Amino acid sequence: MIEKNGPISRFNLVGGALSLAGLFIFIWMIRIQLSPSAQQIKENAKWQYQYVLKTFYPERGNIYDRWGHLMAGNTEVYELGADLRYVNDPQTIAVTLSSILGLESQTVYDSLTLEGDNNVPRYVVLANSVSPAKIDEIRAIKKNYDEAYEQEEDPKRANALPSLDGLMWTAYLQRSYPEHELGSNILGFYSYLDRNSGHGYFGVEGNYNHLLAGQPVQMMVPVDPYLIEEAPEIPPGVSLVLTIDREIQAMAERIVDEAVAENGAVSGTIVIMDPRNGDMLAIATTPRMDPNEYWEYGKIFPDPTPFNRAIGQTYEPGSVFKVLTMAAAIDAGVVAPGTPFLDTGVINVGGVPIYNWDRGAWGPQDMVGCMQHSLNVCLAWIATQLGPTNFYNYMQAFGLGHRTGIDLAGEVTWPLSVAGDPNWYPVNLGTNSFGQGLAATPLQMITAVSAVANPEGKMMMPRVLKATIENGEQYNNPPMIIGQPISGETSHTMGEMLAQSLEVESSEALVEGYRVAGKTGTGEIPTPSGYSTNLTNTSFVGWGPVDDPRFVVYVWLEKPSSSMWGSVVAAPIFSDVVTELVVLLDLPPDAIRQQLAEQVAPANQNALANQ
Amino acid sequence: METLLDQNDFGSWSKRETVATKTKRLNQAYPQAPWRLQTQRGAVILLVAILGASILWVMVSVTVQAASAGLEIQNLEEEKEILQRQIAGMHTEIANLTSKKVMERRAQDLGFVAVQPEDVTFVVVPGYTGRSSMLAAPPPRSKIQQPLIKPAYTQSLWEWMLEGILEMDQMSGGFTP
Repeated sequence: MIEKNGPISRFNLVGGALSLAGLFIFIWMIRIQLSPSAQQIKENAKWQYQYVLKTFYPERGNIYDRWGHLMAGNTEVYELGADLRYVNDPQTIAVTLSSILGLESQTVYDSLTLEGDNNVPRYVVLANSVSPAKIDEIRAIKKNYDEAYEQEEDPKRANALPSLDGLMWTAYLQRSYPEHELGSNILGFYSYLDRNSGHGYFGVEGNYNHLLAGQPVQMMVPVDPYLIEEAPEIPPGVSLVLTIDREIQAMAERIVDEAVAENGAVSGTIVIMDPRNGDMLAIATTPRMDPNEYWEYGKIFPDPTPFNRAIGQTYEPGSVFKVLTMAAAIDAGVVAPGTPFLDTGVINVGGVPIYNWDRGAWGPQDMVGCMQHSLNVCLAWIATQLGPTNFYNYMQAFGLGHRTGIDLAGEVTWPLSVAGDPNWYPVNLGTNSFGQGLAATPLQMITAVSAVANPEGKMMMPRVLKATIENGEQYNNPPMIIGQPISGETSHTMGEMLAQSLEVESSEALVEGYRVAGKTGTGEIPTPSGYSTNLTNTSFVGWGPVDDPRFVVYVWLEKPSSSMWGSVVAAPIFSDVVTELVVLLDLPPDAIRQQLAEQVAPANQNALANQ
Repeated sequence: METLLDQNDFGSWSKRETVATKTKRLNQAYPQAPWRLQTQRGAVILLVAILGASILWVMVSVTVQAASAGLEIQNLEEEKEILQRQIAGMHTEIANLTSKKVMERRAQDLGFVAVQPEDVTFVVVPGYTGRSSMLAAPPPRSKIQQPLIKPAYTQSLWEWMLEGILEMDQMSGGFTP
């Protein structure tokens, strides 16, 4: 029995001892919690278990044509994989994926039966780019198996049932090109199979990759919902609106494919441009590929085939170049359309004789006749009248010898040798005047000629980007003038001259109802042993309507076997293109257009008078 | 209170005093009953405990609500990602269905033929300026800075009251709560 007034009782003694022990434990707990190593463990655990590193990839920007047709977009696909810790029926998984996705059953089975530690997550990728429809099929099968398992009462029989446990899928966006080959030379392609470091190549995808891709963001995302923070706003990549017209592009590609096939040519290129603002309406060239299968690039474009010949291959353009020589001479006042010239069939320039294409002499001509008959001798004479300084100044003003700056990846150029350069010879003045002894891309040629078509003689920057769409706002890309090599008066004069020369010649390039101006070209091809005589580069450049140019068209057929002459091969292609182009541009025939203009003009005047 | 003891006995006299004292003490002790102190102490401790429990309950309740809201936010963000993917996929699907080749084939199946220039009739439509270029989004405009967090989350109680008083002053003919 406990004595109340006695010495410390056993009860109090035990109670005190236990209290001291408890207090000691409590103090020791606090000490451990506050120790530096505990802080370190806490910090490690926080980042290991409370947060997970996540990379937010923005959606790649879309690419539209000028009317809003989607040329490049993104589609939802799935990555199919398996967490090996939970796979207990690899055979069923292998058979299922083999039947639905066409995968090699044994390969899948081997992937699922890899040896390893089941205490740590082990994930294998079984398939990429799986469509949502296939995932729905797999999901349905998995659901059936799971339901059968739950309904089975006998555990042994339940475990023997087929199962897709461990199979998992993750959605992501993949680049897609709905129009397939259409416009692929302009678009380029995106290497979407490389999910972590995909990149745009060639064309728009290459040149604007930094805009289209956007900026991925990495951050530690809390797993603990109490620690949830506002997710970063990841704006999608910038979307692009091109100047390309899908319908015109399709038309140009169809015609160039037909022309290459009919004429047995190595390749064909058609470029269509608006000379008023530099808009590229179409760039059609061969070969082409489907960017959805970009891995075929090596097969379709064997080295050294450029991805887009319009910007990626130079050649000696031949007589289409005479447009620039004549424009320079008229602008400089050296000649006028009626300036007479006596063609004797040969001219010596720099001690080297230069002949006409037919080795013939054409007698008395004027400048229109020189263009009409494409007389090399006459144009060489004009160049000598201009003089090398003036001539090459004009050619450089037309942009020859340097890139146009078009916003497509892969543009090349050939340097223009001018008087004083080590590889320039006096005879070059003569040969360059008719497009031989120098090289240019079709884009350089059409850009230069567009200055002749432009009513004010202005040379507009060729462009394929019309506008960008960023953060829900559209930013228009304004046209840019890159030079004015000739005056407006010269351009009008040239239009009349070249329209007359086509009409007088009854050229194959003429288009019924529309007055067009243009020039054929037949360029010899340099070889190590001199110029080839049986294979040529045939070209045609033209524009219209002459009184209000709305388009410039450049045609180039490389080494046609049907005929070596541009007037026979390239000129009809120009006519075919323009015949369809005017419909797509809603451009009435000249007579109707002028009649409508007369009807509208009085109405406008009345409206103004009534205001 | 009378006892059964003899009045002349000292012991009896002591017992009478003890009884009186006891009685006096009892009378004094009664209004100050010792168990009342204990009761008071117990009541105070209980009050503190209840207060503490209430605070804990409020904290836990708020934490649970925050965690629940966090879970909902996580779910909504996942749903947002899913919807964005689906929207992108559908845009592409529409583009596939309206691609040049598909539309051409459909047109041919329906008996349409490509128009030739000689088949086209041009008509003047007053006020028609031609096909306008694509406008996928509004042009850029000057941005007015909007506060990201509503004032209700940052105002103090005093600021809230002051704002309410000012609003009441500006209203006429009563107010809508």
